[in-house]
Amino acid sequence: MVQMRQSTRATRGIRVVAPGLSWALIILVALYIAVPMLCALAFSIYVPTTGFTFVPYLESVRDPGFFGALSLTLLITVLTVVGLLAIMVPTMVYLHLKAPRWRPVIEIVCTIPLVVPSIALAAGLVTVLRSMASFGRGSVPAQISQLLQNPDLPIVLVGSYIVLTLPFVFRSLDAGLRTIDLRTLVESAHSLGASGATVLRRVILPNVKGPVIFCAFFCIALCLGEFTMAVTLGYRTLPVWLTQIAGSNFRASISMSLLINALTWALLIAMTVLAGRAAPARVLALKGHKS
Amino acid sequence: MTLAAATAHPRSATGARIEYTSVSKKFGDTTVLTGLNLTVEPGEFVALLGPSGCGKTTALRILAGFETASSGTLTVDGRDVLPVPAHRRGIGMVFQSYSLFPNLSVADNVSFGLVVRREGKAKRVAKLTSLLDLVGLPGFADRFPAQLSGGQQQRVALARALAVEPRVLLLDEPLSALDARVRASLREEIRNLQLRLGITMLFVTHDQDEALAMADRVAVMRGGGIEQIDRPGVLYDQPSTDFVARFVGTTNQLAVARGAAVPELWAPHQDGDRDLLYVRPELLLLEASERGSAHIVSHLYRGATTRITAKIEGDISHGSSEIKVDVPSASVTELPIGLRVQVRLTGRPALRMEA
Repeated sequence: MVQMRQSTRATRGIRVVAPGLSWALIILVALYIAVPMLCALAFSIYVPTTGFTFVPYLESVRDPGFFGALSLTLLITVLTVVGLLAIMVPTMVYLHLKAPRWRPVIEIVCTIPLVVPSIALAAGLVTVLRSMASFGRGSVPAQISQLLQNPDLPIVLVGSYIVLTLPFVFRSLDAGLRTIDLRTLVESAHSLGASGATVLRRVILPNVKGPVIFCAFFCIALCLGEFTMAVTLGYRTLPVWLTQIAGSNFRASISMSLLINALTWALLIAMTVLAGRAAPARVLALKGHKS
Repeated sequence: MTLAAATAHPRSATGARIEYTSVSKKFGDTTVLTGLNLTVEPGEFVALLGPSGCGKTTALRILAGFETASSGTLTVDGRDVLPVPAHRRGIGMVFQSYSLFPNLSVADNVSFGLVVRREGKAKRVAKLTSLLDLVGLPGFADRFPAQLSGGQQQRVALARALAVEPRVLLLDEPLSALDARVRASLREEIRNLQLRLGITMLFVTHDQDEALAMADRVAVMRGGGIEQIDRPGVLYDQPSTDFVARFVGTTNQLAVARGAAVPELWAPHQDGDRDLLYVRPELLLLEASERGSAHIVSHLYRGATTRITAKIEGDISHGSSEIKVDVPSASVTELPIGLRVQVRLTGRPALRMEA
């Protein structure tokens, strides 16, 4: 009640933000995030009949499906991040430099995955892959379909995840490229003898490091947690494997989901630190500008 | 060969010769350059001067390789450069917005071109030191662009462009974003640098003072072509068109009877066909006179001289309704505001044209 009254006062007059209010909000959010995780943690390490135990963790790691699921997920994650950046960074640069008129079109296209449920995307993909396969063994469409669905290298899943991240990646890179004087930076690098690839690597990437790191992180988080596409397309990634063992060993599945969650948080923190370091020039600009 | 040798700029050993032949550029339906012809001799400093939209920047960007030409040829030392990508042309460029790489220190910015060319570290360090000395920024190697003033950033940009020893340096309004004092000093520095290094420079500006002060020759551009190209003094004293007369320097248009001799004492011409005389403000004299055809309306103090504006009475169609006259500031007290004056010509009009 008191919180509410304080917050309305704070929104009316920006100057009078109560010093305690921001902390209160942070604590609230922290509780909102931490309580379920703490409950899960308690559940995973405390068995009412036997007391404290790490058996669920050991069991989950010892499960015959675990390493397969882990390595598949990591492979997909790495390929997705690399593929995403390799496709989107040059595309966005090209869009800004050479085809600014197409930007709104590409923006809408990139937003589609946000409004289409992933189950619909997956169902559509399955239909297409099946109809390609129905051309018959050995036919070109069937071979493509098989190649995309290679069980050891699920290109179709990598591609799907790239598509799923597009709405966020587009906006992040777009905003990043807008903050720099892209055209003249590129042109001055060219006039100094740098080719397109060198310009991308030495001039553009370092100046949009923050957004690029954000994209990579977002992509990793998605790959570690995505369930719908993976299960519909029939791949046993970590989340799929988790739901499968949840039926037989619920406690183990909770312990594993906690570990994945912790990994995601660790990545988030690491990326935030990295992104902060990514812009030394700007930090210096704020601290040390002399007039 | 002999022709090139004969016409080569006397001081140049390093600069390249640039030749635009009928270069045109269209953006959709808009024609930005209409068959530009321009030859810049080795080691020459040519300014492209004109109002915005006259095509001067496009001409520069085509040479840099940032725009394609719709037609025509463009050679540097006789070699056609139009098919060559920008990064292989070896043409340096300095931009209005400085365009330093914000993530790199001054040292890394200046060394960028050398790193791209895979030059050894020893050479890079030596080059860096001498270039920072050259542009007057020794000891700034570890700063970042955001820590520098505009003038300092533009000096670094100049050093960066010079590091790869280009034979042609293009400057696109490099001083326009700077404040007046820095602009004046950098103007001189760039000119001295150019004289010392003998690089061919092509300089785009809309500021006529800058063009007149810095360039060997000034090309006044209008509507996608060159209206007149000449030494600054010729451009000022003998403009070939009324556009040049009005765009370069200040000019007064005085109407006289067609074909009549230039009068020493001028009065507004009332009837019949007229010619317009284009006269610089320093070549007019105002004398107090009850029967004068003008009266003084304002003084603009400019240090050594004061610019006096006088309003002309009577029919002034085709001519200026006001004339501007520069007088020594010491004599201003004899010409107070409101004084009736007559106008005397003390020198040759820059241009005479049928009205």
